[in-house]
Amino acid sequence: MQIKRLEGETIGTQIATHGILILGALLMFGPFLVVISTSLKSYSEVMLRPFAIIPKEVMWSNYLEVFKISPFGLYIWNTIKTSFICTIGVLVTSSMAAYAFAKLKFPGKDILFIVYLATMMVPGQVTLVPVFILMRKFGLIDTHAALILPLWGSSTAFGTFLLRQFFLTIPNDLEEAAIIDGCGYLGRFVRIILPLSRPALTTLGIFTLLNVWNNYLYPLVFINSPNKRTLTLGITLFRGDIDVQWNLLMAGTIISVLPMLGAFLIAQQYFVEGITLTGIKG
Amino acid sequence: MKMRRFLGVFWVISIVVLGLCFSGIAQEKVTIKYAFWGNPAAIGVEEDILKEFHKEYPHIQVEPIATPYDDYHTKILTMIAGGLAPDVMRIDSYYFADFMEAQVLMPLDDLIERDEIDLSLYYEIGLPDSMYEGKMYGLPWGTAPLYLAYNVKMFQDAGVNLPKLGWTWDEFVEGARTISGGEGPEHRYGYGDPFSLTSSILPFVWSAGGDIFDESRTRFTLDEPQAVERLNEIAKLIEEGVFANPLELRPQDANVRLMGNNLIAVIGASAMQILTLQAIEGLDFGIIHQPTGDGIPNTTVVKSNTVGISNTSQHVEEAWEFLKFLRAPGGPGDYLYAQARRIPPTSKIPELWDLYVDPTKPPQDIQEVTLAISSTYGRELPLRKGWLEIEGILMPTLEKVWTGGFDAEEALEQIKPSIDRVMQR
Amino acid sequence: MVLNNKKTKEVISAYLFLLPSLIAVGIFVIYPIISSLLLSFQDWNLIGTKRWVGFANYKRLPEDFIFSDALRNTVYFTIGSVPLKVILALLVAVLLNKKVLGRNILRTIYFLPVVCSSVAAALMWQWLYDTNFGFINHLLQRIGLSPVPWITSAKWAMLSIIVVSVWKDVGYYMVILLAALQDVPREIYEAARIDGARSWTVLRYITLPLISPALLFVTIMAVIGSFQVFDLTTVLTQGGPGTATISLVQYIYRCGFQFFQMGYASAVAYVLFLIILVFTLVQMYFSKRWVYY
Repeated sequence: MQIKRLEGETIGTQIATHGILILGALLMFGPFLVVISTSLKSYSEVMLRPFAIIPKEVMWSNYLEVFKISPFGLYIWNTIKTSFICTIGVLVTSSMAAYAFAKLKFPGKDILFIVYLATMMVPGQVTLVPVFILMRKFGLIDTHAALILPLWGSSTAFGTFLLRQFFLTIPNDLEEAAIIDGCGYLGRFVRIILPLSRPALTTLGIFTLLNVWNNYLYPLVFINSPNKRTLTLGITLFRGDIDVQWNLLMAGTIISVLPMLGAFLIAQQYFVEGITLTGIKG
Repeated sequence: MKMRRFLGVFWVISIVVLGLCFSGIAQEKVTIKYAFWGNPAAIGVEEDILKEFHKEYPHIQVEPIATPYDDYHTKILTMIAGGLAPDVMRIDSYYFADFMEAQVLMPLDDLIERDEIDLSLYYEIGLPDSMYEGKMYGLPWGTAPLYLAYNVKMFQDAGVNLPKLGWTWDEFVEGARTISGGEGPEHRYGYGDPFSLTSSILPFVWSAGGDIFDESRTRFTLDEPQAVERLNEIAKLIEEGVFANPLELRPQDANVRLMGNNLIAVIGASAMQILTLQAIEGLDFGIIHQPTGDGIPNTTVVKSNTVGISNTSQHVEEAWEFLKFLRAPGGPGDYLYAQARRIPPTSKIPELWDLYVDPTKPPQDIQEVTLAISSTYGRELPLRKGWLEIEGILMPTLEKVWTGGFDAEEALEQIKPSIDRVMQR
Repeated sequence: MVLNNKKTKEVISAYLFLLPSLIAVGIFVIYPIISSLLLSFQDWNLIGTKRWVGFANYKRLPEDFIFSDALRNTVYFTIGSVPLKVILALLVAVLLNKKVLGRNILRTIYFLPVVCSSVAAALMWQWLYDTNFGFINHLLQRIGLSPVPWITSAKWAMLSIIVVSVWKDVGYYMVILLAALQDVPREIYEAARIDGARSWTVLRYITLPLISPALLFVTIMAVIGSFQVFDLTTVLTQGGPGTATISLVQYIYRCGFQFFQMGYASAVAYVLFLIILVFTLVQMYFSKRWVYY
């Protein structure tokens, strides 16, 4: 006899589900325990065996040291600034382009889409020098604009692809109601498509935020002034040519991870299930 | 009354403004960019130097551009490619020849002569690394030997004499054999190193009478008998467990950590690594030069980087003022670097050594050893255009020799065409 | 006449919608890509003068053993990691779509590896994998096994990198699939349940087809991303031992910025681009069979 629960699943399945998820979660989180542990050790302890999860002397001061040794607070602010501006830009351009690819007919659609896709197949290291020369022509070296603009471009290609896949799943009949009401393309886009795409837009937002947050190559090459640096650069500085301050490096990593984690937690509420479509019958 | 007040204020403001204008005309502010690498501690030293410089030269504003070492040259290459070369920049000797081929730096001989910079105050062995085709293109920075560090305890426990100035390859290998032993994770090695060209391979090959290039640095000679024999000998020592497997030591400070845990008796150690060793509590260590060969005392690499002025700089005079401050022998830069105790002095000035040596930490004989290396045991690297590319081809191949049981001669023969292509560029 | 107007209007509107992205992508991505493409036909050490050499850079490729090793490694890496990533991401997304206890916290934990930069993740795992000091070998020794040279032996190195890559990316693709699962109405599941369908059937005939557009996205992006692996191989193994793990992008970077041969590096990049393009086009072609819009 199978005892059916609310979801129509057996207790066995429920236990298995939870078990797998928790095991996976442990594997995901496990390495971070090591990072946190290392970040709380003294440099000497990091260099010596045996490895201990709990430091002999818990050095919370490492975290303060990170802020003392370099202007970490400033780095955090710079990173927040560039990430948010770029993300907003990407959401606008990608959603509009995705709507065109998903819902509108025009000549050259398929080829243009492949071109957008193709731009993601060339790694950033290859275009580094041409992008630098371009930024130089615009006079944007050593500005945050140089960090935002190229990433705005590459993330738009990504975002267009992502949102197009989602927009394609929105049934055309939904727009028909709006057409009858006399809505133009813009109206349909803003009033029907966008509200139905909250999970997808949130996802793109988080991903773009993350992409800019963790980007290393562009801040490395475009930023000269110490007060314009971003987090990735600040953390990498702890890696000297021979000596690595592991404990501070790990502390810096944890510090840079926390804000993005917070953003993700907040974004979770926008993952609410899409409006049920029972309104449309047949 | 109001008018009076107004006139008074007007005059004061005018005088102030005129005063500012005149002081401006007398000394226009010039901004130059200075690129260097380093971690936060090293950056702190540079900033101290800049502070002192700005006090003495208020009309020259130096903007520091600090980058982590690993990507430093990518950054300055991109800047140069984009037409925004820093006015003053540091260049690692590995890259120097390639940079100079493209004439990135300007020749400094005239300025050196004009301002009477005494090059003889530098340790001569470091000077060639700042020269290209006979001319000086920068001033030396960070001239230092790549020492060997040894774990005193491990030597004493095994009853082996501590290395002394003048020690030979045979003494080195015999000592390493005696010290090595033990089981599994507790296995002790006599020597451990990631085996890069600079840290181990060249010194060992040199002590056997071989070299990577000929005198003119146009012919590849690592495949000649003396060198090959030594390479095979190294492979054997790795196999026997006397030398640690270099692949295990690739993580950045693995060998330092292992020495700290008394598992490796001798490691290659740059001046920076000495700092790391000093930070390990309870570790007693000493430094020595590389083992010498028969009639070949100069087997220790002395590496020297360069700080130079860009060929496209718009402010050469100011850049030169700064470069002098930073690097002239006995100049303020020298003193500040010595005080920071990160790299040994590059000029033969006794006070610098007094500042640099920390009496509370090993190794106490660092001055003695360094001077001995500078005069007798040191050798400059046979650097040339394409050095990194050659190393990029050699290293994977040699790794096959260390661990895959390949004979050195065969392995080198396979890559000879690729190496020749680079040599001929 | 009316029809013509409507169609034209649609085309104009489409291009208006596309305009912002065309500016963004055109100026900041396509233009640099074309520049570097042109570079592949030149010889340039980044600071000297450029020289046109036609196809010389490309002719060099077949004899370059580092290039062929890098190609082999990258393909091996892609084949090894992409299926794992996609399947695991799907599994976790489906499970985390149910009403599980602590769902939000679990989702955040799975996303945690995604949040740290790939350099940080590589450093983290370098620490874990260390033969003498690493935590993993420490555990192995505790249970009596001998330490494994995770990143220093040719046998294990690539596998170790794949593990890190999967660890890092599962959460990323999971989020995309979760978003797609949100659009599947609950009623469909209930209807299927009432009809007596079992979980596997529901998954295969209902869920998968409904999220197939997102699934296609995940697969294509996973392939594109895997072919461009860089940080992991650079930091974890530096491409070693020997050339056992050097990736194509790593080699491109070295050629450009350490060996002073930007032209050659661009040629390698263009070959990589063509490979990825072919893979992607093939996937898009076959997608007509299993993707439902």
